[in-house]
Amino acid sequence: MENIIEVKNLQKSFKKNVVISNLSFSVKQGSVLGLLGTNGAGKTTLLQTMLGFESKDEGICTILGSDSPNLSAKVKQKISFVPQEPGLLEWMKVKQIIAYTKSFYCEWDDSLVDQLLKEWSIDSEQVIDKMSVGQKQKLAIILALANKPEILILDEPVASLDPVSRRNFIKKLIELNLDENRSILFSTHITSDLERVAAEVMILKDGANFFQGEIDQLKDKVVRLHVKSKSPLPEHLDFTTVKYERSGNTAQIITMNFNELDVEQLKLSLDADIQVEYLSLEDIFVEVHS
Amino acid sequence: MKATLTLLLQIVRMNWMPIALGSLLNFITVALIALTIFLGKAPNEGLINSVYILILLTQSVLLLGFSSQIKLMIESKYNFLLPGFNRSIIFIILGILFSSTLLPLIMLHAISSIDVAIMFNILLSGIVCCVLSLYSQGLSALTFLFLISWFSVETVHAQTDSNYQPFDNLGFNVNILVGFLIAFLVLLTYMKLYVRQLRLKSEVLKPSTLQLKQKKKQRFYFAPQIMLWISSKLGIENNLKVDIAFLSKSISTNDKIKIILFTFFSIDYLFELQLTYNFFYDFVEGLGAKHQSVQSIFMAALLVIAASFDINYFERMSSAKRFCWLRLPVSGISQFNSTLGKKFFRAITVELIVTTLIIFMAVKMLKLSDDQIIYCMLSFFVIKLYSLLWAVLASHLPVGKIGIAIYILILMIATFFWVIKPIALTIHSIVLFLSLISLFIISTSYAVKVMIFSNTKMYIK
Repeated sequence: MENIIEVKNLQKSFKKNVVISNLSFSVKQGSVLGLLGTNGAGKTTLLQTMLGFESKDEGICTILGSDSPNLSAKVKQKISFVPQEPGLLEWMKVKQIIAYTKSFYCEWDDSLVDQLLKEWSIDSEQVIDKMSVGQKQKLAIILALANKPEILILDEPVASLDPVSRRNFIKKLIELNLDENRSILFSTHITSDLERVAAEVMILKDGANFFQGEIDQLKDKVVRLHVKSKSPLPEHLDFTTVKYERSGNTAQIITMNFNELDVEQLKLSLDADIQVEYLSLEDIFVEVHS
Repeated sequence: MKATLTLLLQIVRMNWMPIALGSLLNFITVALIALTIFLGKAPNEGLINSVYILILLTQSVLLLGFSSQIKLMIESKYNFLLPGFNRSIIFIILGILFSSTLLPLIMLHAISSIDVAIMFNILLSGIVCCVLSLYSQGLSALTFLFLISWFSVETVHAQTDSNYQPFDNLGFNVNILVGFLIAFLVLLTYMKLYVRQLRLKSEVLKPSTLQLKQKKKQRFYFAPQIMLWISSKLGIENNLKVDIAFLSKSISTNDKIKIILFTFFSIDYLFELQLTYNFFYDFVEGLGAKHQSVQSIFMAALLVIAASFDINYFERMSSAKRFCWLRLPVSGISQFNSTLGKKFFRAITVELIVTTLIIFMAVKMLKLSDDQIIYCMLSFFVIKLYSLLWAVLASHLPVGKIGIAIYILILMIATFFWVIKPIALTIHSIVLFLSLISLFIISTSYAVKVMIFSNTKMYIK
């Protein structure tokens, strides 16, 4: 499959504060990539730099073959972005911003707009400024979905939504991806949402790509080992770990490459009983950042 | 094309009053020239002067009307990703320039032999302000004021000294300067629309330090900032917090105009002290008006602007009260009210001093007779009183569109009668009266906009 987003050696800093450091990744057509990272990990900066809201210090960033930040109008027709804060034109009414946004696009799904407005109880006569944060977020999502984008980029889109709307939105994303083969890149803190919709995940840690791959692959690699040894455990282990907590003869190990590890061999070498605990995405995320 | 029209419609919808007025002025300008062409009459000096004034007015009203909205649209991160947005904005800017400046100038040139250098400079003033307004409306307005004043003074020099050609003292061909400036402005527009990166404006302040948010609009608060710094050094925390809360609202356009007028007259005084030439009169005459007929008109303009009460004071006061009361319960309500009252009194006193100074300088400069001065002062107090009354009402009642419309209407009627009475109704008086009204509407609409939209914003952490 063709890469529709390509980021190579991207570097971005604000004065002396390096936010993104030598980051490379790609998004294939029709895939859903979830971006995970703690606050300040550089998720928003990454998305904004890719889209041209921020200038990059170094590196290459292309979306549908068009170089960022100067994305062509043709490419912009195929991209939709929902920022963390909706950034809508607050003085407009809902129907006005819909008409306004529609005028810029060749394709526009009026029926989807009507359907979502109804489902999410948004009054088209309402002035945006008077809407709640969640409602604004919903409106931003409606506007982003209506032009049938090839790439949908979302920066923590569900943070302000209630659980019902969140589920509804996730369902829409899945439909977009499965039925229409749209590509989706989205950052979130809510790992359960990410697991529902994304097959692939990228963990951003200190501005660098800690992991990119399928969620199942990540779960196979990062596991928790409960070790109970008959003799004191060594200070260092001879395989890569995320965490190694030792207390006398017992230890908890978070592995980095469990799929490459021979557990039986490890049991023998440590003279220990080892229990393997497979982690949820949220646990992995916490362990990686702890 | 559809996108451009929708964008234009939204921009007009946001600030329709000055834009409608600018468009009307534009229509009158073009119609006036078209009528002259149609009637086949040779244009006289009066017509050409009036058209010049109309072009300048149209430029100022349209540019001021459009610029803040265009800037808002450009700086909205949501818009940046809309395909063809930049192109639409450029079309709109070019459209404004064409209709407000280029079209009347071309038409005027077709019916009379106007100096090309002057034409270039009027065009340049339009472009300069149009582009600069994408960065800062205040900067654009000041540049516009400076350019118009400069051109006017140059014109008067050329009229009074037959050997003098406009812009002779530059020492080089003015067209080179125009070309260079236009190239520079094109570069600025490109940077704003394409190269610029829309950094998200951080709302976060340093948690450890209590400070006013350094918004562009608040840079006028240089003196209060120093006072805040001193208060913080002296450890007067409560006073400091009240001050911050009170000053955190952005100042109104009314205040900005007062500052501009104050600067204008101060420069004039400096010129007068040097006994070289009178900047203010040269400016007026350069616009084509006669010395005597313009006095009362300008006086009226000054009075209305100076007499308009800053309705923001009440809004700031209630906002500061809300904010501080939640955070300063220890002071007790009476102490709190007294502190806030002092701040309010100080702000009003400063406002009155500035207004009085402007009036004093204007009266002195215009060399009015005693009767005229009494008439001026009476009018000043009447308008001030009405303005104050409206501000008090506005701070207690919800301000609807009808309320704003009534306020503007009453002031317009009052101004109209005031202007009509002392002078004869000449073409220049009508044109200058329109300038007064447009300036007033702009200032009022901005003041009201600031008042309405700043209600929910608190810039302090």
